[in-house]
Amino acid sequence: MSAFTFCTVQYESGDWDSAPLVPANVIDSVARYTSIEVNPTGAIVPLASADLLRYPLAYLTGHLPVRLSPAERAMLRTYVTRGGLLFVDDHNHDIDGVFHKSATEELARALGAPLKALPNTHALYTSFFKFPDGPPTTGHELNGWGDNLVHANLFAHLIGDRIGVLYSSKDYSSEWGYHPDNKRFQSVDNTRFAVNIVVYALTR
Amino acid sequence: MPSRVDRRVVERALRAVGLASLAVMAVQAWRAGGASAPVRVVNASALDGALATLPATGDTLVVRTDTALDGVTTAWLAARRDAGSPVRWTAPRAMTPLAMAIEPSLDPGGGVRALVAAPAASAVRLADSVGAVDSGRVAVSGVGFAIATPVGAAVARVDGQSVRARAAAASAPKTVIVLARAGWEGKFVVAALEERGWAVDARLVVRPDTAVVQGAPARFDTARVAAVVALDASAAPVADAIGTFVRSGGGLVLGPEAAEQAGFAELRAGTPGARRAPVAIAVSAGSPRRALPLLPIDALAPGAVALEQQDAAVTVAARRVGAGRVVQQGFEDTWRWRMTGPDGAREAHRRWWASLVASASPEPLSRATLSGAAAVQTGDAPLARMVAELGAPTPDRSSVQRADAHPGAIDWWWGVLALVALLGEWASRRLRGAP
Repeated sequence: MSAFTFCTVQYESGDWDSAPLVPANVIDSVARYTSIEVNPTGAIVPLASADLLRYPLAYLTGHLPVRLSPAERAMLRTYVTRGGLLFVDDHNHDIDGVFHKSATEELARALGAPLKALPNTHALYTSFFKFPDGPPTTGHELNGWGDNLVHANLFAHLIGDRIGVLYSSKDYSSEWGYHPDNKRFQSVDNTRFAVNIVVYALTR
Repeated sequence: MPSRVDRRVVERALRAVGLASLAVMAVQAWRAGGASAPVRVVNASALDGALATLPATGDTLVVRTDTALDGVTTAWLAARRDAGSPVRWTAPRAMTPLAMAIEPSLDPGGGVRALVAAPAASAVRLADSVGAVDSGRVAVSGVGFAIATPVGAAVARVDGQSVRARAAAASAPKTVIVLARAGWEGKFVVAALEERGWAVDARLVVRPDTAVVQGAPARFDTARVAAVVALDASAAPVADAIGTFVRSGGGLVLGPEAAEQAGFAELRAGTPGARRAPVAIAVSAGSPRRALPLLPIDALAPGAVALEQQDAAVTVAARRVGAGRVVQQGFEDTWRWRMTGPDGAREAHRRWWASLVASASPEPLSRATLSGAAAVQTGDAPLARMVAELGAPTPDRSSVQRADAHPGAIDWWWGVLALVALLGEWASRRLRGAP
């Protein structure tokens, strides 16, 4: 059986590689908390490439405006339709930023429908660790950085009950962007929600 | 001119021949007295009309046919024979033995499995009341078709012979339990079965003490569950319970890693061999599974049959265990087929997994019993039925005709011979002036 590989999506516009430490940290958490067989290194795959279909969970982030090419839109549709889950995180952690506006617009254009707020009772929040209040807040939300808001919900494109695209304005890319060894300085590991996303993707 | 003495010798010889011929005729007449019942030789095509006109008892009936008779006609002939009238049948050429069974698929997607048994290399054509449905060639002893539910009775034709069978109504699908580690294979097998219409209970292990659970995957109850899909080693702790479930009439689909576990050794259809790398780089529409890693089923268990092969390797095999069935497949990472395959791969992957589960799910006994009352059965083997009920065919049709068309009759040429000999003897005597 193939091991889980964390995949970062490379897209033609913007800065897809703005959070280079996130993959290693998520991989560390998956290995730390679960017995899921996980590859020690992630993969980086262009959004327009058919290779993306080899990674049913993929992570996309950035600060800059996002404009998808027709090939990227088509592959995104195929990916989601076939059962993939794309996790998109706004590295700006605001709702008026250029990434948020352009990325949500592009996702709606590719998927044919705007993203909707994901209820905080969704199975995503109990797939491994329990998050009864919905998505965990990030340090940047709490310290007033960005739009000075604590975002109550994540957004999603659902296919039936299954999440095809998960969208966050909470800036998990900053929250999880540190060396895994530094987890020991935290009283509560803030990457636990990343484990929920991975477990959800692998089981739903 | 022969002398008077020579003529007497010839006359005596002629008289002897004439009397001998009369004696033979007398013996034949005496023998004919014990076989006085008349014989009717009837072509199968005219049998329907003859049934009404034949006397109830007495006549020996010889049916001449080049195709196996239907069940009703065979039963009528058997009843006639049992009532005291001899019945035999003859065929101008050897008939192709043929049998067909129709099983409704438990796959919620519908359809049936038509299983046709025929000699190796036979070309089988399958049709229903609407028209042609499918065709195939027999590899060893039979060929199977997964088809939509036929309209009316399905008819399989091979070499001029045909067999009919009707599908029984399918029962409501039960639940399928999927046991796997958290991973792409388990996720996409569950997705495929759910998309096909199965209700799926699942237990996907995230770590030894934690699993994502859907439904009640620990209740192995044949009243509720059609089959268990055990994909990997995470199912090993409940192998004993699964074994009890299978022996009680449940189905089991074993993935390659699960089949390697000691707990499944008594259930598996064969021993998994060494892992083989994919034969093809990319998933293709024609042979998608060649792009998947394979643990071939090397040594089949007693009673197991190979259902699918790749080159010389067995990739899917099945066997009966107790009242249940086990289907073992050897492919790893079938999710890659669905995700990376060409258009239609998702549907093909879904169909394949649904067919494995449907193959492992035994039919309810009640349904088979009910279907037996129908005029067209869910399965039939007309030639075998004819032989069982009427006996083997009379091998030589011409001998049947000679023996049966006039049993006990006096051969006419003995009379001619007697007449010629006695007339010759009488004429010779009169010409020489003797009294």
